[in-house]
Amino acid sequence: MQPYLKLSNICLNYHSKQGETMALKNVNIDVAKQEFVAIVGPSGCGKTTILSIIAGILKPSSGTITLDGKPLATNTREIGYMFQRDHLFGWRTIQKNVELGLEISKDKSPESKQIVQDLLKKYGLTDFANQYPHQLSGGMRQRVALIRTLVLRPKILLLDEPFGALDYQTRQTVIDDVSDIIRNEKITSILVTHDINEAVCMADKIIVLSHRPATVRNVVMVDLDKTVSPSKRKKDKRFTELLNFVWKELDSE
Amino acid sequence: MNKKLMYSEEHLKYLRKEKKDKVFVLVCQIAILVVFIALWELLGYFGVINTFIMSSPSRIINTIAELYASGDLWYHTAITLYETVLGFAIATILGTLIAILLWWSEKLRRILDPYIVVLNSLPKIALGPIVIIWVGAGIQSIVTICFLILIVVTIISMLNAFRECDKDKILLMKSMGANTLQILWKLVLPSSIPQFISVLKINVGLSWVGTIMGEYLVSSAGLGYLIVYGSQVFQLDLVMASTLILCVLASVMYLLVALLEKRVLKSRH
Ligand SMILES: Nc1ncnc2c1ncn2[C@@H]1O[C@H](COP(=O)(O)OP(=O)(O)OP(=O)(O)O)[C@@H](O)[C@H]1O
Ligand SMILES: [Mg+2]
Repeated sequence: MQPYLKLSNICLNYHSKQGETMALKNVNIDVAKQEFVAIVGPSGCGKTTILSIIAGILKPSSGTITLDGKPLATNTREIGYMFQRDHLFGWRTIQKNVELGLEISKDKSPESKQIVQDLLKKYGLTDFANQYPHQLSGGMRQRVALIRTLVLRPKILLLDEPFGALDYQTRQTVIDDVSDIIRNEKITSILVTHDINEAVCMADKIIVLSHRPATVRNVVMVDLDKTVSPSKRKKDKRFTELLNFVWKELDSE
Repeated sequence: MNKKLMYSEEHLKYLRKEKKDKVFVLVCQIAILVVFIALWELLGYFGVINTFIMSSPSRIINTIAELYASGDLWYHTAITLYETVLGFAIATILGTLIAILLWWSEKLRRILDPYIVVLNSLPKIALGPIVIIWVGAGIQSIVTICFLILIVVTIISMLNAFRECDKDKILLMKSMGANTLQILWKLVLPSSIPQFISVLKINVGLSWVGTIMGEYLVSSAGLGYLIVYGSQVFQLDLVMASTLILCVLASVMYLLVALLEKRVLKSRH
């Protein structure tokens, strides 16, 4: 079967006055439709760079990316991006924040408006629609940030350490929450994380990267029960095995 | 529901102390003013100080009353106010527009950077004589001087504010397919509003400096003119009266901006 998103031989060099940094070297990644892929790797190896390329913010030095068999178009709403910090705009209400992407693509269709209302309702934010971001908790803000990207019905959702800024207490609930929303909406997702725990409990497939310049070291399939929440998956003894395996893969660097 | 009922005795005590302190500070502030004015008046009245040189509160009030009666008060105040507001508005608007342009084009910013640095370090008042020759003596040259004093600081402060805008937020907008205009309009400008207000505050103060300096250099009307004229004919009453009016005007304009700030910041959070 042809993969939904395919990165073939992606190389990327950064150029600055200090010199040239080779960040990615022949990166090959396949992502199937509705698959949840986690990318782990040593810090500074080029994880964010991969996401920037998929999002069309960076152009690769060489290599090709295809989505559904066609070369990936830049500047589209096909790719949703979620950052470590929620980046909600403090001067906009929750509703206005969620509608940001629609405003950008000048989408005033009633269907899109309806999607906003539906998502706000479905994920318990209707009551907060007219409040400002500072009135919400960190976990809730992250949920708003997720919905802000989902409103655009992206084909791929990119998550760059989206839980990194949350404290330990809220973290697990937000992970369950986000995982639930993503499975619910059946969105193909790519998660970048430092936290192997997070990767193993959320993903269908884990891509382990090498030190910079990053190449794919290994791809680990996660055979845990995906019908239960990530926090429940952690109780499976297979979880610990996978965790140790990915650890070793990273360590053998 | 009465809030007081919910507070503990300790908190009420704290609130009472806060209130007492606030009243104390206000009383002291008023007392200083009253004592200062009374002392000035009395020392003059008993001939300890020479009111011809030092003037006195009652003579200042009389002078203002005379100016009012002759219609000069409105005439000169209006001219100075007009020059200040005009210089302030033109410089603030144009400066912000130029800052937007420089934010938009990184190349242009780099090209113009040394010129902006030089213009910033130049004491603008040194350009006064040139301005007078080029645009002609009169209101237009005073507005120009005021404008020159404000424009460079406005450009630099606003450009800094724009450039400080969170890079990840810009990436977020880009990942949603936003173009530069949308990034400017929906992100960079709204996130720079607090800095814009502090620029307004600085400009209010500077615009009075600019106008009065301009009027010292060249003018036939305005409060700055009255001050210069008063000192030349040794009418210290007139000098003091004009200075007092200036004080009041500048404070009112500053208060207006402070009020705007309060409203804007409240609506943000
Ligand atoms: N704009 C840039 N110019 C030059 N070098 C860059 C630039 N952005 C990133 N790099 C370098 O490229 C490498 C990969 O960066 P990237 O941000 O993709 O890593 P990462 O895996 O996301 O790191 P982290 O774990 O810290 O999030 C790093 O060594 C970084 O220093
Ligand atoms: Mg990163």
